[in-house]
Amino acid sequence: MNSKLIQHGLILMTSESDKIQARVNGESQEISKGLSISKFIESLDLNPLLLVVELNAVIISRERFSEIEICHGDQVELVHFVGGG
Amino acid sequence: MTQPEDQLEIGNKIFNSRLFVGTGKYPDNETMVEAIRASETAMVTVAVRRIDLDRTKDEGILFHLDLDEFFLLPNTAGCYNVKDALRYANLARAAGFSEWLKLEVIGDESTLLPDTQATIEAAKILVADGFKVMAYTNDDLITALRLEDVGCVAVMPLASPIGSGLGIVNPYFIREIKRRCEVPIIVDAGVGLASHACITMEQGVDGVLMNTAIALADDPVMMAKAMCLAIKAGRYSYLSGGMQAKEIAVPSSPTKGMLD
Repeated sequence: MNSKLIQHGLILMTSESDKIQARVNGESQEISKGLSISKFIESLDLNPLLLVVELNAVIISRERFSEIEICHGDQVELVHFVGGG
Repeated sequence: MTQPEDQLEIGNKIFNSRLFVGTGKYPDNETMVEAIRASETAMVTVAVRRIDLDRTKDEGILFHLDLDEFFLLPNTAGCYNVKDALRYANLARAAGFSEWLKLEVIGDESTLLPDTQATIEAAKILVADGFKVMAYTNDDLITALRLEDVGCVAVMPLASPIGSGLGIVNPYFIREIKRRCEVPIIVDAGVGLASHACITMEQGVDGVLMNTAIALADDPVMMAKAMCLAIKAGRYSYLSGGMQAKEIAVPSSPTKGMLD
């Protein structure tokens, strides 16, 4: 087995054990299992005060970011204000 | 300079300018901020969109706008039905700045004319839910009256289609809406030049909201200044009670006292 396949295999093993799939802003994304919304926002280097989170079509208040974990199959929307008329 | 007795009040909030401006389409953020300052506006509109996770976080408008300086009016631009408009409105409010909203529910992709029935329906729900709704609509009196009836804090008929720059195409209906509604009338969309802004204010409306006219000028900052002056000129022209136009010449100098 060459090193690339071994690497691939390791990724698959990791995926089965530690990762989940969620849709974030319309794109499928692999994220760590058990990750809270606040940790996820932090991992993206975003300022939680300047965004709004919708989880499965429900708006999540900032106070709850740290207590809610993103689960497999979740639909996450991260929105903010942009220029508009 | 707005005279103290001529301040604009919308939804129990006093505004020191009758010009409201959008924040879209500027060549860069520095120009946007400079133009907004030059316009002397008191309220700026913003849109709600997904964060682009592949790009720099610098994209968000709040990195550039000082919220102590400008009052934010989030919009529901891009929404084509009541459900989407409510969703965007709630996302905007959840940002935590205010309950103010520029409601727009578009009915046609080509003209961007509003779906007035859906706008009234969405406005009714949002007002009941505590939003202060400024509703974008067409220049139709009946829709304006219905929007007032359901509790909008301002009704915002268009001058002409969004982004067209055609100016005010139906001054009579705009005047009629102003005459019949008690809430402030802010003409929203279609103004392209400072002369348009001035003529719009001369119809007696309470203010004008614009974006493209400033953002797409070759010199947005200079156009913002021109719009600021035009809004004031139009307002004072209206308040001054201008003369009646006559299709006859009347000399300004005395006809008596001429030399033999």
